[in-house]
Amino acid sequence: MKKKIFITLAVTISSLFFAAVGVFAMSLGDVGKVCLFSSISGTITLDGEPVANARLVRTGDRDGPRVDETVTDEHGYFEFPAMYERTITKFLPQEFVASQEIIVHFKDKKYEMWSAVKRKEEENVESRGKPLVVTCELNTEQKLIIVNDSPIHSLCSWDVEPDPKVDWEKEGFFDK
Amino acid sequence: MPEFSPKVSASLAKDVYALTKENSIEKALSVLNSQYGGNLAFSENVMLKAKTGGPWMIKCRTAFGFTLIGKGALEGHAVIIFRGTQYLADWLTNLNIGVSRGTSGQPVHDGFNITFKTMEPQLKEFMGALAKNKISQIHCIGHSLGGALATICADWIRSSYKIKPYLYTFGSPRVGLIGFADCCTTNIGAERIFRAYHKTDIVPCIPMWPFIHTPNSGIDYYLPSPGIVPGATYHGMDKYVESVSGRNWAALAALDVEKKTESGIVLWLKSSSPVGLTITAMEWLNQALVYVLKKCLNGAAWVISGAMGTSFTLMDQLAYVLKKGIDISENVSSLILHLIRKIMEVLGMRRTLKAADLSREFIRNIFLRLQAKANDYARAALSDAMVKGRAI
Repeated sequence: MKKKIFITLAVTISSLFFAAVGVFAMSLGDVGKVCLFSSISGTITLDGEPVANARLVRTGDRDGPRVDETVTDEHGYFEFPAMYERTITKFLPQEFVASQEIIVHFKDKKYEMWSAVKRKEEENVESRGKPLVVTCELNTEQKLIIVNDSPIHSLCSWDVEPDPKVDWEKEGFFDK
Repeated sequence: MPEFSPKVSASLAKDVYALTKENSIEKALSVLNSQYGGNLAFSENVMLKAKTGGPWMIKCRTAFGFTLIGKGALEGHAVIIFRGTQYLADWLTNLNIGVSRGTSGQPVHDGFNITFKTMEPQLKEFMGALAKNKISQIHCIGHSLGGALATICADWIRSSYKIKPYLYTFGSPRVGLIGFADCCTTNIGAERIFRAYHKTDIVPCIPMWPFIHTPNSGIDYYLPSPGIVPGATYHGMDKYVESVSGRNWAALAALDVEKKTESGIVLWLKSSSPVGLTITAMEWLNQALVYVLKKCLNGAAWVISGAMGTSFTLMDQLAYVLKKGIDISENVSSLILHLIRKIMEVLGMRRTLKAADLSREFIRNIFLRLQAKANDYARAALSDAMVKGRAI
């Protein structure tokens, strides 16, 4: 009888142990990962002409800047992978806030193509879950759109619905 | 009264995070215009400084908030918003608890106080320009640490300028000791203080007693949220915006349906249904403890229970009872027997207990064990985070 209990216990404990290891191994790769800048690709034009060989410098900054670079091809096409960062703060009760910037260096001129504040740690919040594919015209004014609480000032357009605007005239600012 | 709606104050408390992270004042202003239809602008001082290249935000180590002037529908109103902890270091100093004197001379959390002091000169400048800007109402708003800063700021405005501001906080930690909470509540007026918190937000539970919440009388806005353990998710400002949108303050106050009635508490105490270590059980136990203490001690010995309201957690009650050496063994009633049985059940102890067992030492020991358990429980969310953090 005692032996049977012992075996049952041993089986239970070891299966618990393996289950725990399995969970651990599964999650370790993603532990604490937050997305500072989703993968972004697209084409850049200047007065409608493709901008070839332009240098793009991208910065993501949550708690200190992270920078990477790329160059456009002859069609003005570029792509950046997603920019991730590991942080234990993901598990602490605090807000996710990361600034984003892409500067285009072309023929001795600098253009701020993208300046945003990302407010959610998941990838592709800038485009509501879709891949972020943009077309950017350097000879325009920056436009502001707010998506998923993240304000994005850019020279680009992409397929996304902005957050609905609150009609304060109708709702009123004061308690009713 | 011209108090902001829950949605306006919550939206501002959320938007300040993005606004402080913008790389120019022009961008921040365009976001502000887009979100509030041109009814709010950065105060003139701030704009002027920005033009001369100086600091244009209220700065601590990083930008911590804004001073805003109302326009159009908000003419005559000024807003001071603070953001919460964005960096781990800030957060850890939150847990580094000491007490110093606030502007009204009352004891407040040292870390919050120091952070506020670094912003005081800029706020003084802003306050100096109130008459010129024809401001008659000031609204202090903040989430998390920002809520604590907004509370200290409101207290400072009241004591330094004799103006009664409005104060709105979301998921704020406790700011000061009883003297501060009492003074601040009386001076500003409980009806001007709107403290909203989720049931399962860990931050309003800390620091524990003797720190207590402001206001310590009147209404606080308890928002039901899912989960059995307080944690980080329902501290998120997006969750607060969701919870308060579409309701006025009176409707939010009415959400407090989970508050226990006295007859409900007695029924729970006498019931034989098993209790586990959940936030629901903790809340029941907390209110049962208050109820039993009130029944067994006369008013003078239990002055604190009325003043603390719903924000006093089980940990606070136990810390208080143990510190004061409150003795309930002298006045043994069946209620105490039921209470101790429930506690023993939560602790996983045997349940055969007779009235004769209830000595002062025995009860104190039970309370100590429960306190240890409750402390472990409340710390779980944070230590969990640290353990996961170490795995990185």
